[in-house]
Amino acid sequence: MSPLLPPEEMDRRDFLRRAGLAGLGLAAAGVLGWRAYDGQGPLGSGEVGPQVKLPSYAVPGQAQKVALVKGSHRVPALRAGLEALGGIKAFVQPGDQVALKVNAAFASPPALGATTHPELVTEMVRLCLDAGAKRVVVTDNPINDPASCFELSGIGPAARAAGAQVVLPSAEAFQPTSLAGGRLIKDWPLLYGPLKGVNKLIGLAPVKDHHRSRASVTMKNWYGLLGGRRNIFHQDINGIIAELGRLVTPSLAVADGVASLVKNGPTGGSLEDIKPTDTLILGTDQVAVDALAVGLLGLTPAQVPYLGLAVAAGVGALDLKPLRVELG
Amino acid sequence: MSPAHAQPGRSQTMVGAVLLLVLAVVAAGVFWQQFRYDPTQWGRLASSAGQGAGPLASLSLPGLSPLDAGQTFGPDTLSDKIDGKAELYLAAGFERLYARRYALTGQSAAWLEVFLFRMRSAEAAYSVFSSQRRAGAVPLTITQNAYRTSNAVYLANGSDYLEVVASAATPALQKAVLDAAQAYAQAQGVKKSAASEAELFPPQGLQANSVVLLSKDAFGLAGLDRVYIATYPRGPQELMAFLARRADPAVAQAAAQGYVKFLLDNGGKQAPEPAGLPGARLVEIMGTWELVFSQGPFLAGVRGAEDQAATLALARLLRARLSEAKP
Repeated sequence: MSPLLPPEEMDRRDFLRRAGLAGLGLAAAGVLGWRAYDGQGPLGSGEVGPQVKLPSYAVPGQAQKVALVKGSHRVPALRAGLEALGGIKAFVQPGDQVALKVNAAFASPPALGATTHPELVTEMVRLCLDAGAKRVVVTDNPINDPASCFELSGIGPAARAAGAQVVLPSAEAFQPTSLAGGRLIKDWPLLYGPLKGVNKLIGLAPVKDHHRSRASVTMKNWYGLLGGRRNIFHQDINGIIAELGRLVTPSLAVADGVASLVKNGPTGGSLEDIKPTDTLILGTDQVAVDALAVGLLGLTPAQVPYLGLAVAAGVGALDLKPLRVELG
Repeated sequence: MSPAHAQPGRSQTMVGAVLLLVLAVVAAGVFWQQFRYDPTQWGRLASSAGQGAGPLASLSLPGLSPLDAGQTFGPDTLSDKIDGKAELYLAAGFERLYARRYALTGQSAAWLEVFLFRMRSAEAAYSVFSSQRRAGAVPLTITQNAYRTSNAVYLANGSDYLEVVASAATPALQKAVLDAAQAYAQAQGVKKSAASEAELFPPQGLQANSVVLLSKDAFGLAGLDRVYIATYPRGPQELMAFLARRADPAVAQAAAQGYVKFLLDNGGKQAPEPAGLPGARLVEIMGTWELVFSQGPFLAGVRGAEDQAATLALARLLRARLSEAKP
């Protein structure tokens, strides 16, 4: 006797009836599965738009330019640095729409050096508008609550007072992006909304010690364009910074080392973590800018692994000779 | 029934085959779909902190008004508050962070923030306290390990690590951060520090408040964990003494050998065994001397000095102290 189907309990009709029921069950499961199938995949709480790719914001004819200004005041240092590079009009033309990517990561006061200094924001907004920019947007996706970060860092009030539009991140501002050949940035949410219509992108970053990457300057600043659970990238912090360098080609990158957060970064906390380093570095090669800036933290470029990765990826050069300006 | 009748019929075989085929299709579908997970969690744009100030909620802070209800962070969300510095805490043994902002009553622009880190142990709290110690800070007696800077107070208390950070260094805020730290100590009670190993360093020439506990991968060597270091200024240079308690003398000896091998693998050159330090290994690396030994359950040594004689002298003092320590 078959252990599976005792013949005395099943004839042909019974078998066909059971097979029919099994078939109906399968069909019902199929219909249910088809109705429940999510062809788009999990979306979380927000709507996800189509994939986007950041364009290059580089200004033609301005490649591989770097200026290093020695001075203890941000506003004259920024002006002098831009002058050395050909003036703001070399980067911003009438009608341009400019985005300033600041570092507003933390809800901490300007004096602690963990965020972009509002003086720098004010002056850059003014310069862009004076050069004829149609619109200047100031944005970031902070680590802490965005509204608190922009207010307590002083960046929000400074930007608005100078005539810029401050754009805080919202769910609909993010769209997925993938870096061609990237290992980490795949289908990742990018803070793209504030960059719509923008044709010039300027990074404004403080010079900071960083517990994981040793330094946080202009390239690490692009981390604030990422959304999602980006903290998983801390496991490969150098890799993600190098990929961010490939993802974002700015019009200009500015490293504020007038006062640098030399210890206990990236948050700092004590005023004793800040050191006057009296230097502002700006240029179109973000690797070169960062390579000079890490010197303010007492590091050589070789001690900062993401720089080597960025050079290998063709993002920029370590050894560009800067145009030096001494403000006395 | 004969064995021939036990065989399934053609129809049964067909149905069975169809069912297996359907199952195979389902398995293939599951396999394919697993690659469509959402790594990004689109909804997580802002901080995923929990609400509530935990123990800070009941803190009585006269003259200060809370600016928020407070936030709570766990190991998964700590980086939402302190970004890349989270790794320092996680490596040491982090459990929870409570943070709350306060302003001087009637002066919302003059504010401070209290960070209470609950660590896994007193040793973990001491590790994060000591590794962030600010040079030139003023020691406080609120707890065994406490200091203030121009705008902040930092202290370790049992398994707690507390930071009170003001937005500016005004006299009113300086007083407020000190008051807040004292209110915390009063509310929580003063607890014993973990750093008993710190007392094993020779006191002669030891720089005050220089003992640091490195939780993980000390000196760049993976697995070299829970190492105390101390600084000894010697004229223009500094010597660093280190010690780490291990489970027993055999483990300590193996750890010493492992560290010496690490030095030699990275370009170090071994020198002859120094007199008066039997079993110790002296290595020259990048123009400096490293002396490594084990003493009972301790791995110990002196590192980073250009002066060999000073290195050996400090090592002898350290070894003598450790030989008197409780095993």
